[in-house]
Amino acid sequence: MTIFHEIRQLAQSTDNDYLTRARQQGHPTVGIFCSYVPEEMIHAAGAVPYRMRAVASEGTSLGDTYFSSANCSFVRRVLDKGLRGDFDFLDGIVFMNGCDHNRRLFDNWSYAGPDTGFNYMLFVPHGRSEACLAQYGHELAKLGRFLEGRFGTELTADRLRRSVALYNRKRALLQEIADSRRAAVLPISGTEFLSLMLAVTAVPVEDAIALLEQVLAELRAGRVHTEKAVLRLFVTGSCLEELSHMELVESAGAVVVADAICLGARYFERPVAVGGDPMTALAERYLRNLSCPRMMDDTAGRIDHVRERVSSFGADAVILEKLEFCSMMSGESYIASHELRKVDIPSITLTRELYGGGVGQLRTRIQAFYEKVINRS
Amino acid sequence: MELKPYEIIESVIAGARLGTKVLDSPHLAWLGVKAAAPLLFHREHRLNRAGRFGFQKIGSSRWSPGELAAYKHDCIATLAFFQRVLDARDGREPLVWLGWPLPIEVASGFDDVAAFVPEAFMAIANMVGTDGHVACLEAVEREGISDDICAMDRISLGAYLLEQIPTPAAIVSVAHPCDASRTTSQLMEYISGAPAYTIDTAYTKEDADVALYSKNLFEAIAFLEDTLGRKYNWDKFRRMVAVLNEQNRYLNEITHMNQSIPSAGLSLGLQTAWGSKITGAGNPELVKSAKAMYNVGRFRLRYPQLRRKVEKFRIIVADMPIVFSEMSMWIEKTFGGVVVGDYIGDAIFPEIDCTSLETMMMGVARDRLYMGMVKQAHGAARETVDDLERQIEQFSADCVIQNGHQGCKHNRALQRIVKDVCRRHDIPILIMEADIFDKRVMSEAEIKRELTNFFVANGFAS
Repeated sequence: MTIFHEIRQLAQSTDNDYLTRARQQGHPTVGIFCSYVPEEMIHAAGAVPYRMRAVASEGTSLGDTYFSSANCSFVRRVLDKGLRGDFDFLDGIVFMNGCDHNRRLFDNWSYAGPDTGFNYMLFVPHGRSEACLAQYGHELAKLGRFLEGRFGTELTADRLRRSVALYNRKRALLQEIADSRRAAVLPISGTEFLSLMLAVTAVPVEDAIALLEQVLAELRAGRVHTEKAVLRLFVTGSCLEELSHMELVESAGAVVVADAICLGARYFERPVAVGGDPMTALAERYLRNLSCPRMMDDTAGRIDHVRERVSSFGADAVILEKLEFCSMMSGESYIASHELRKVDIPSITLTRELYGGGVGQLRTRIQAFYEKVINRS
Repeated sequence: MELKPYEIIESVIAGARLGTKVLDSPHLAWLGVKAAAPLLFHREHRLNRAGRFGFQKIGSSRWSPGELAAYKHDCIATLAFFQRVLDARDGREPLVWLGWPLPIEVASGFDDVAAFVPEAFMAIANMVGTDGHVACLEAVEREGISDDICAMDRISLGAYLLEQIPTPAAIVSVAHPCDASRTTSQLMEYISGAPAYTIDTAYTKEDADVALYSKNLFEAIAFLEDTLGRKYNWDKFRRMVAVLNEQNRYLNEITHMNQSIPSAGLSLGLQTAWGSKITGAGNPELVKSAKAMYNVGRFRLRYPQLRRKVEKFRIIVADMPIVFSEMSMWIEKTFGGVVVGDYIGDAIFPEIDCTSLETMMMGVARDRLYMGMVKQAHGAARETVDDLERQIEQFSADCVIQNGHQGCKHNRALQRIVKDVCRRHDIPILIMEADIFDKRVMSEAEIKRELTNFFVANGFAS
């Protein structure tokens, strides 16, 4: 089995052997949502942070008994999986107020009570100001005390520094792989990169580093995925974890070369600063990293980032990915599409249900958009 | 519907001016409203479109002269508020937009700055008929903005796109109470191009969280001083807080009166007070309004036999009420069901400690955390659920209605928990799929049909 086959398998399953092994060695598994939960703190407490996902989801029927039809399919599917026992291997979950759907996932999860250990809510401010940073630091300190009590350990500065070093290494490897997509000859597709992201957020960081080093070795050995892409795409949006959707986007000759999504650049960009107080450095990095639309005072920063990446990765167009009922991305996609039009970057907003239907419609929209972009050049 | 620039605000000003004059003689006004009721009560049509919303605002002919007299002061406050907005449009002073959950005192504490709350259009757009809402929503739809965003926020955006609101000199946004307001704040800042300060509000009502909110409010005032080049009047702030305390004492008492059996029947008045507070907190007229309403309540509690005739069963609206058409008076008249409590009119405001500017700002911050809709929507589900449990018990409710507002994703996400609360209390709940601002989702007639079926099915009506 090649490394890419293993990655694909990991990406498509909920639990995996790496987690089982870690549990056997006494490392509990803690689920996390969103990119604002510092994994280093969970790792330093002796646990394995695990990015929650809806892969292998069977539907929403159980989730729908808690959520309404006006709630997003990600939370409905994840809760559904939880109620079916798919996450019973977890020892706890750290939720966060990423959006209204997500914060209510915490409430419904706590109420429905799947067998997944503790439920903790991390409140993250909606801005990046000094006051918000101080508040976030205060919330992280509370999380730290909770983890210490829960796992009977102490989050010392040394432990945190060791965890930071490991996660920085993981980020650097992901960054290097992501940067390899700047080249004209692409060593890895967007779908493969998403698989990689799903895989390395579901295994212990030490194993993730080993997997990433193997992938990088293959890329350095001259792996070629696409000689010359017809279209190079930049993808931004919120929750996007469906490999099938990424394959659909790439199936018409286009390749995703860069992104600003939660399971992408938002996860690995910018290392945590080393040398000072690790808790301060964690707060700074996680609150002020590449933001998502929930952060109200960084709209212009996000648009600038898209423009810069489109230019530096030689992307021809931008896809704005949005889940149905996502208010945050509704506003963001309006602003982004207007700003991109000003600098002559074509964009399209794709609204979808997570693992939902409507593939034919989406394919038609995507193909028409590609034709439009190709014909203009 | 084609709207002329500022047509909605001008209609509000005209309506408030008329209300101020007519309600000066509340008994005569009462007779007039009773006489006009056959034309205005049941449904909107071509002949009553312009006046029906105003008719509903003053109790749909169900209010007593005392309630009408109280409302006169709301008209005076409304008139002052919107007249200043038009003055700002004409360049007399700078205009500041504030997110609706924010204390308006942040801007109205300046002597020479007009404060405005764009979300006010959620209610006032109806002054030109319910197509006013639709016109604003359609303007947003033409821009390509998704209807995933709450209609309240889209109406404010649409009002700006249709030149119903002057461009601000500065914006103070707030991270409350939901995703829709967070994203709309960003859209408003983007479209208007005005400099903005964002307040990250508290997640709980604990002191440490409220302190952060309070600190942000001080910073917002400093931001406005810098941006506008004007000084904040702290003496005015002190006076406004004293007024707010007085208003709150009356509102809290009225809420208690609604808990009596039979109730004082003043929940629509409390809803009005909620709206007036958003735009006019600190205005002494609102104390007069609250005091007059309180006196109506005292009278009704003294003569409960008068209320017993109308109160056959008691309802909690566990939601924002339907805004494009007022339902509680229709329910009362048609079925004898009285809305005794809802999410926005339920006043349980803590007294503000006036010993220093810091304690006052903490108090103002806390006050707005206890304001309806913010009170339930921020933080964890227990804020909503505890509130509903408390209301069901304190108000001795017989049933609960949730309009199921499409924009309240956080509220919609709690439907199972809310149903279970009602099951525990052994009372029925109706959860609709309405949009409280957008009649195109569920019309007034459809809502009335659902309500009728619910009341009949549960034995409240035959």
